[in-house]
Amino acid sequence: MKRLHQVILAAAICVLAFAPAAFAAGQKEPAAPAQAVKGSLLVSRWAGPHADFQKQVVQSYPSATVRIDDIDYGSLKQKQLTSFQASMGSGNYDVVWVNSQWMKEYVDAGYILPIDDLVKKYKLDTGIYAKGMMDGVVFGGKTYGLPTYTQCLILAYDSAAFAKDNIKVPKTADELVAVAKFFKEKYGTGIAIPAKQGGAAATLYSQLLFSSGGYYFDKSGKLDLLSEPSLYAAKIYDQLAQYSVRGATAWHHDETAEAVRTKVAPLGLIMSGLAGLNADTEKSLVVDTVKYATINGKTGDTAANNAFWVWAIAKNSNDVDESFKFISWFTSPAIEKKQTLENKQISAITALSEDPEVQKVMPYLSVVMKQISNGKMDPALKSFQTLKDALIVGLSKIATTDTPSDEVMKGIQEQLKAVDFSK
Amino acid sequence: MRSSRRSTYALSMEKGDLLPTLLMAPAVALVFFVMVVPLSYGVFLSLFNFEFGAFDLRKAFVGLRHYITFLGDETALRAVANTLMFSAGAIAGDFVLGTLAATFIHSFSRSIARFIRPIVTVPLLVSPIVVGLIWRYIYDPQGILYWLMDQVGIPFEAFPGVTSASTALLSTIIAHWWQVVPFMIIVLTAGLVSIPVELYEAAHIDGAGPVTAFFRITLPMLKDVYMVILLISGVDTIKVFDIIFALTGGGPNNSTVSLSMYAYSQGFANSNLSYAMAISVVVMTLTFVIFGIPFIRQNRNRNDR
Repeated sequence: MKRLHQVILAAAICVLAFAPAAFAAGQKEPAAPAQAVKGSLLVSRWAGPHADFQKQVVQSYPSATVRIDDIDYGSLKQKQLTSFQASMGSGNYDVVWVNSQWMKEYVDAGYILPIDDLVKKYKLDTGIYAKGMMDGVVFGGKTYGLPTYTQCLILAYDSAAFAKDNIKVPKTADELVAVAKFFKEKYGTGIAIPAKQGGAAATLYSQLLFSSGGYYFDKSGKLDLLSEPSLYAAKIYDQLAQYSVRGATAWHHDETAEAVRTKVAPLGLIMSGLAGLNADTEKSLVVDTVKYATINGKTGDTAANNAFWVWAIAKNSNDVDESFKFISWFTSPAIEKKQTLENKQISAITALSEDPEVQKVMPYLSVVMKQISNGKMDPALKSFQTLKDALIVGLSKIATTDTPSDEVMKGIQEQLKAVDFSK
Repeated sequence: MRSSRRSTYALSMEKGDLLPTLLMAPAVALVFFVMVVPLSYGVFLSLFNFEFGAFDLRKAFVGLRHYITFLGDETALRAVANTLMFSAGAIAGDFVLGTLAATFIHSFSRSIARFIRPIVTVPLLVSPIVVGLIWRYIYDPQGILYWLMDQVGIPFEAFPGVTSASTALLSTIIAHWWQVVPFMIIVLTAGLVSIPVELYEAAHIDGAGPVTAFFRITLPMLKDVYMVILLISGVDTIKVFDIIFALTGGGPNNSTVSLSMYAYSQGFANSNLSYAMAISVVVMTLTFVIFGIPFIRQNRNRNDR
């Protein structure tokens, strides 16, 4: 009898211990931490002041409640990938903001939906978007999103500092190095560049490479880091690092832009998305004197590394039609202009760059558009990340050691000789 | 008496009583589902070319290929060396600085020590990623460190901090010390107060000075505390990610890339999830071999005694 009591007691403990888990397991749809409900859209993007502004903008979207799940940029892709694993209609992201470099991977895995039928159904004119960027969202003849928010590296300089020593705006990469050298040797400052081991340095190298007429691969698609433009771009990067402001080898985009804004550096290669802060009287010491120019290659040509963001519809969206209506509304000329004027966002709508009102608040817009119109994109290949990783480390080696740049590029070429860059 | 003995016997496992087993069942199940299953799943997936979404188990099976790749991967081996150096430097500093600080604070009167201890433990409350950001500004050439160095005539080149491959790892270790030494102070203080004062009094009568007493009494008496610290700090430092991620991003020239950082970049930047899992298994094995086994042996020896 006593043992029976013990067994009953133990069984009761087990039931109590597992009851919550069993109850949860019995639910058909486990509650997601950020779940959309019918009549609403859940949107994924990175967090920051730009997202805060967009949260205000989406409140005026007429036909659904839009909730933006903004998370730290470093965790964005990881969270999107996790969200895509949920089954259709389980209430995960409806709309995702995708980096143009992730598009191929997302398309190949079926994470985002083609929108061609919806474009026809709702008669959207995709001709308003820059062709170069529209091309970047088309895979296998199908369109997978609407482009927006582009940015690239531009040259920002303090015109007063240039005028003081009668320095001319550099028209070639060699002239840029000469100006950096002048300021380094005369004032101990130099140029601000994002030379920290990371993606920013790789972007700078690629922009120098593209502006000098080169690319990562030769015409047959083989890796060609030993081409003349590639070795030239690496040499210029080396020299810019050599004549950079003290500490630049640990700087990413933010610190580089801040160095120009606070007059730590008289010139810098900054991300255009951060140029708007130069006009902020509370944060900038160069409000009246900052000017912008293109970053040029060997012969004075310029070409950006075209990177942008794409509004795409998640494969497990609850309401595909509403999601499409939202992304076309959010990238429409009126809403893009509002975001450009108030959020300093450079849209993919080409006509906006001609708008005098826009040009007034974004004096660097013409520089950006010139670079982007000639720009190239990094290849949308999964294997490209391997090359990018190797370049990131190699460029850091160039910037922080005495190893000659061409030797480093030879090392990367050798290191990656077995990698298949067709995938 | 007889009845009591009988009931004790009845409760024992020898007689097949289910009660102890059933009482342990929730805890065992919890450990199994929360620890063993995910861990085994991770090891299992490291033997495949896993991709998010559906994947064919037969086609994706690669056996030990990821582990073999790891052995020939220059960056991975660099990450192993960096991680071990970080761990060794971090733990050594934690021990030395923690012991010195705890002993120093312990030497004050109780009221002063009570006032100082909460103050010095503040860094412990800060998240490691924030610690990395704080130190990024300290190490900035326009930051406070170089201003102070400039004031005393030390040039930037003497300690280029995170801008040079030669000093970047040390810089991250210093940031780690700043955060973790307060934890050492708390734990070591608990050990220090448990040492009987009579031992010091006897040593003093026998003519031992403070230094002799420290090496002959304090350190031996703290041996068990050090073992616990070694395990906690060891596991913590082998997995280091946040501070390095925020401070250097693994650079310059991969001089600070750690195994956890490399696993993260392989998993989420390169979408090589299985390789990332293989790296994580290596981290786990390293942790167990270096810190787990000595701890288990120490516990066993103590139990034997």
